[in-house]
Amino acid sequence: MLIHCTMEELIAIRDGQGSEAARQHLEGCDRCMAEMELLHQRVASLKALPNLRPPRDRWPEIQTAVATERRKKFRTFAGWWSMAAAASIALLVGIGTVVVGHRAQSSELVGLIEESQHLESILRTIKPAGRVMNGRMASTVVQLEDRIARLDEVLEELHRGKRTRSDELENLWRRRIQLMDALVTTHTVRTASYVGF
Amino acid sequence: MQGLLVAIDDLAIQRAKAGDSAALGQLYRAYESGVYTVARRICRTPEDAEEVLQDTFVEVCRSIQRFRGEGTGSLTAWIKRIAASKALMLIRREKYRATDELHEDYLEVGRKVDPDAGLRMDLETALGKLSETSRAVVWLHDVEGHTHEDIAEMMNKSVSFSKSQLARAHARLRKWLGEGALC
Repeated sequence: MLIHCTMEELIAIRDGQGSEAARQHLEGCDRCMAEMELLHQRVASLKALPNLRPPRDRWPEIQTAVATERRKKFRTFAGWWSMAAAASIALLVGIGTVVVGHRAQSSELVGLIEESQHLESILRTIKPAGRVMNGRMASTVVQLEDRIARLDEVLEELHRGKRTRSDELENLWRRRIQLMDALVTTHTVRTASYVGF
Repeated sequence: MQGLLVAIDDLAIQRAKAGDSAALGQLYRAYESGVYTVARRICRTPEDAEEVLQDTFVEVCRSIQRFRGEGTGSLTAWIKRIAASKALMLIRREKYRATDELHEDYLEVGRKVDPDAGLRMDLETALGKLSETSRAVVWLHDVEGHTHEDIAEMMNKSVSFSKSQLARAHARLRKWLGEGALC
């Protein structure tokens, strides 16, 4: 009795993985050859199906979801960094060369972390929750918090890494200080205009 | 995933990695159709496909700074993989597992009693009649170019499961498309 190739065997042959026996059968069998041709045609037809368009624009929802997530993360990180920064300082001061190669560089990093921590504490005092701000200012705050949150993700990753370069860390902490400074300034201006009003 | 509708260059990728929202928006425009197509081919309803589209791009925005590849080719592959994983995650949910079997059983019965069952179906209809799992394997393997190993990993199943699902799906498509008796 002649045993033809199964669908699984035909697919395997098409993918270059079929058994030698199945290949030999295929070469001599018109019926299986025709099946193989149908398989090729079917896959070609699947590939030729047109791309589909989503019924509506999802980008605004995606942006909102991402922004909400980042702001939430920023708030969580703000608290986390205060503790982590304190721990890093203790570690760096105690050992001297955990993250960086030289004591001078470690103290630079310690200084940057302390400065960032200081800005965090200022932010906590001048940012009363629930106060109304105008749309432009709110957008600036969201953007700054977003950028700090993204930077925090990178910093978190680098602080976990064993081969992190100290200059890389220092640059990122400097960048964080700049952004925190801008955020503090934005909130200070907002508070001042609120008092003035 | 077919050709991009919006051109993405290396600079746009770098800007997106730096968190530039305009560049991320550009990325969305370039890939929304491709991602939605993958999602729609795997999921049963357009609503589920939209959910996958949204989840995919939230993940892209969240993780793009960790994307280490270079050029649009690897970016496309990375986004495609996220989309496939999200869609497979969605169909793995309990409600799908229950309806999946029902769907296939219904088709078996339908063929026996429906006098029109022998009529040719178009490819879209036939594809839509496959179970989510079979359809996902066919689409990911034959159209998107994933290997069985890749699919098995994403589905948390074995390689032989992926292979048998593909063969089963082709056998069904073969019948429904009216191409004559199976080998």
